[in-house]
Amino acid sequence: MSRRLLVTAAATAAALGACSPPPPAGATFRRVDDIGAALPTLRCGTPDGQDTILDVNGNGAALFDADGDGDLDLLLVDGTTRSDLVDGVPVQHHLLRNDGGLRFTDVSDEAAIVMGGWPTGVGVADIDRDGRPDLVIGAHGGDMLFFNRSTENTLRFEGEPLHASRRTPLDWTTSVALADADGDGLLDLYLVRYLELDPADPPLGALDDGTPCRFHGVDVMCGPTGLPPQPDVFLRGLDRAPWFEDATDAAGLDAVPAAYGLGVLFTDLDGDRRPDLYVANDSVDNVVLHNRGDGTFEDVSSMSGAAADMAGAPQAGMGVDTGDVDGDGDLDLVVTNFSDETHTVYRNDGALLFRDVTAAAGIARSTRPLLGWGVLLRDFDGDGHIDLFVSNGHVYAQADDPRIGSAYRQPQLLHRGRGDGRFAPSDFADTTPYPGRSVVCGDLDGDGDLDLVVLSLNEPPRLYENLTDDPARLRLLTLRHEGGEHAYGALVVAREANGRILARPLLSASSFQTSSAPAVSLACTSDLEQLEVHWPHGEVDVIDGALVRAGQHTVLAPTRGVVSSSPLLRPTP
Amino acid sequence: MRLAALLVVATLITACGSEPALIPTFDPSVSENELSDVIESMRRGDPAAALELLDAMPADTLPEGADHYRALALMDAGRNDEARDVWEREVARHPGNGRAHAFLAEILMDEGDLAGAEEHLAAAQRFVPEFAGQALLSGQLALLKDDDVAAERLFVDYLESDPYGSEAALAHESLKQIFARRGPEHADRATYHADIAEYLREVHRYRAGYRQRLLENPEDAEAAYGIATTYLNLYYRTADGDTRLLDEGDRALQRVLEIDPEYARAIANLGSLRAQGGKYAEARALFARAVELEPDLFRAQLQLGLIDARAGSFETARAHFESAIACADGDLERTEALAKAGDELAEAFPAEALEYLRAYLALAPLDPAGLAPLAARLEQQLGG
Repeated sequence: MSRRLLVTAAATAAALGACSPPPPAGATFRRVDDIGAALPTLRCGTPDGQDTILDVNGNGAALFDADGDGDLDLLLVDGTTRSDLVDGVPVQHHLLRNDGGLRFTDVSDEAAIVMGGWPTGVGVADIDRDGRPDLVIGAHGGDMLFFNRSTENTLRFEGEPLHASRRTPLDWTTSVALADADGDGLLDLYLVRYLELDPADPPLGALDDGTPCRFHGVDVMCGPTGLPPQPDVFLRGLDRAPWFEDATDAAGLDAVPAAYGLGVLFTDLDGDRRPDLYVANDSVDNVVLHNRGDGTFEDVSSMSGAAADMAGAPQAGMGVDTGDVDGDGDLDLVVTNFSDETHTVYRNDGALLFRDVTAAAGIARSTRPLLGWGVLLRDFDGDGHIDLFVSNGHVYAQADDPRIGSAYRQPQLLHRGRGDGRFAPSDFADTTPYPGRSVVCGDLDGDGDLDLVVLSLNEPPRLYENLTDDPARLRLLTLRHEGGEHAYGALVVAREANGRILARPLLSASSFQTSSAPAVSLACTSDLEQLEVHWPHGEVDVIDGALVRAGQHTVLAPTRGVVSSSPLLRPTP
Repeated sequence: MRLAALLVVATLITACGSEPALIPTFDPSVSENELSDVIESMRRGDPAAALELLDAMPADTLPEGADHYRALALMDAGRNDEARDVWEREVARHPGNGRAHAFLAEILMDEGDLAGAEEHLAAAQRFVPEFAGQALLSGQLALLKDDDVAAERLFVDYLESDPYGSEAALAHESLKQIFARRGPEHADRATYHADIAEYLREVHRYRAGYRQRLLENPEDAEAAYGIATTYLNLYYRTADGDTRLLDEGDRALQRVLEIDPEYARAIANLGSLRAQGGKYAEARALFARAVELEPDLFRAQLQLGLIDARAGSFETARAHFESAIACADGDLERTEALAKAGDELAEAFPAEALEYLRAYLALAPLDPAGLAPLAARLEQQLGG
């Protein structure tokens, strides 16, 4: 491995970089009801008519700096109904501008992010390389690009169909992810596809062959099993319009069986600094695709150990996230699944080999009754260990039937990481169950800890403030290439004086249909001695830990190390 | 913990001098007759009904094994929290119930209590060493403890006792992962286990589907036949001569004929089983009955031709071969029929045999049956 030692420590650096003592275990969240603007109920079918699988997956969301003022704005991707979809009624998404102090202003009309189809997941990247973050929004019925045309005084997006991903009028994209797969300096795009369903003629109660749709003896909506799955799409980035071209076949991905895809990761899972792909599939094996580095991928799912559960049985993968659960420096996985299944923890054993350690991790029993969607592996309480948050909610309105043995409204799950691969249950702010779906996280109030926005089906999203509030221990890192775009797929490996290793990835997408804040959150419990940044397709920069100070938001770039640094806890206007 | 407490109790009751405590083995099946309705409900896949039946029984009439079946029903209903309490009660009452220890271990593993699971698996091993389920669970526990060597041994042991059961796929899947982790030089073994695991899952998926159909309609002969073919296909696919599969297939075919005595394909398959056992007269009668019911049964016609030819009845053999050729569905079957007809009839009807062989070689120029020399000899013989 090639390493660059960028900066030698200053004599006083250790004192500057010193961390505070460990915090009390477990993050505390507070639900914030009044954020200035209304958190809108997003449409996803009609609440009393959720009789097809189109109606139940929920919406997407992103946290990104839309207006370039340095804080995170919130994009809520709206959905629609089957009748409006058939009638071609356009959908306007909701953009809430962050005014600081957890106050927001609804700027949806000004931003004009409007499209057709049934929008779903979202990705954020500077696609046209003009220094402003653009959007990729997946949909049933046609994906879209939205170019950020904001100026100093206006916030505005300009939409354009993503023609390169178009296969049929019934294309159904769920999650999207971006990373530079082939090392050409341009972000490539992976679109996860679900299944073929005609909104004008959906299966209701029975499949086309007359097979009734039942679960545990209860009549339920149909799918995904019995409906045709759709193959995923891989687009190579271009340096000029139309910005992407279809490279699915050229990348060798045409050989991957079509599946009911929902969640995706596009990051380096085997330490070779080439972003690999992991796709969480509903009801069939998940997919692990090894990036060969030449623009092609190898399907290693079967032998990876992460395609199915410990028994080799495929689960109903919904969301996925990655983090170093056991503190050994590589990235483990958590996939959320259906009720009767566990949310599954796959430990990374190197060389793209994983081991289902769900039971040993201590979440088998607690997650078996739950149907999980959004999932986040982050250090929410700032103790240096990766915690687990899962948003849960059933797809069947009939889930409260005792024969199903679950519940439609479900508790959101917060588990505190112990750093040794195990989790312990932790109280969450909201004990009232609701039909949770996607979740995004980011530092919304500038205090360095990670706040949450949880989406739910046909109810308003919920914003939770993280009360860890310990800027003396927390660091926020932004990783940018020279051109200014986020270095998605990069990995930060921090080494503490107490010997602890903290591995943190920068992801364009994780969870389910979402894009969390494009930053790495780092909390340590002793002095930060050294920071390694594993740049995608690049080298490993070694930076003196003292230069990445606690209580600061630090921007890092290849070969340059620390580009800028500013204090957390921005004053509220 | 729990087990230690139980052993102390048992010691107080049974200890004698320095001899180890003797805990009697408890087999819950002693209560099967009294709980037949409960067990039937569980077999039907209706644990809720089983629990209702148990709840309706007066407490003082509950047989010894009631808690065992209650806990099983709770697990089947996905109510593991309650099941754990009942299992704990059961192993306290019957410390020698090895299966109860194994099932309790399964729940404890699910809860991440690996030490507790290990204790109960040790008890299961002590009281029901023949119970394959405990070997499987021990293998999973070894995997959770990162002990691949022990896990491999346990899964191989399990497969010796239950090579084709519904859980065998799990053992093969685990072995696949173990060999995959050992690096590229073990890739072949990983692939072998992956293939078998996939095939077993497919077989059991089909079988479960057919069983469900039979539950809904016990007179569904096609479903019963489907179950029978899963055993036979597994036998031929795995090709390791495990005649237990043939015995299961035989029983399943008999069940088809109980539903529909004129199910020709089941009769023909029974004929194949009899022929395989060397009972040619019985086999012939079955094949003959099958083609009487369904003249287009290729395999039955072919087998009749072979049996008759080998018995010296060449005229009838030829008629059956002709029928087989006529009803062959595609070139593969046609090639097979022509080759067998040519080979078997070469001495009795050389001219006809040569015609069969020419047609066979035209369809299969690579001569997979190795009959080109025979054809050449017949050419020479007839030409001379």
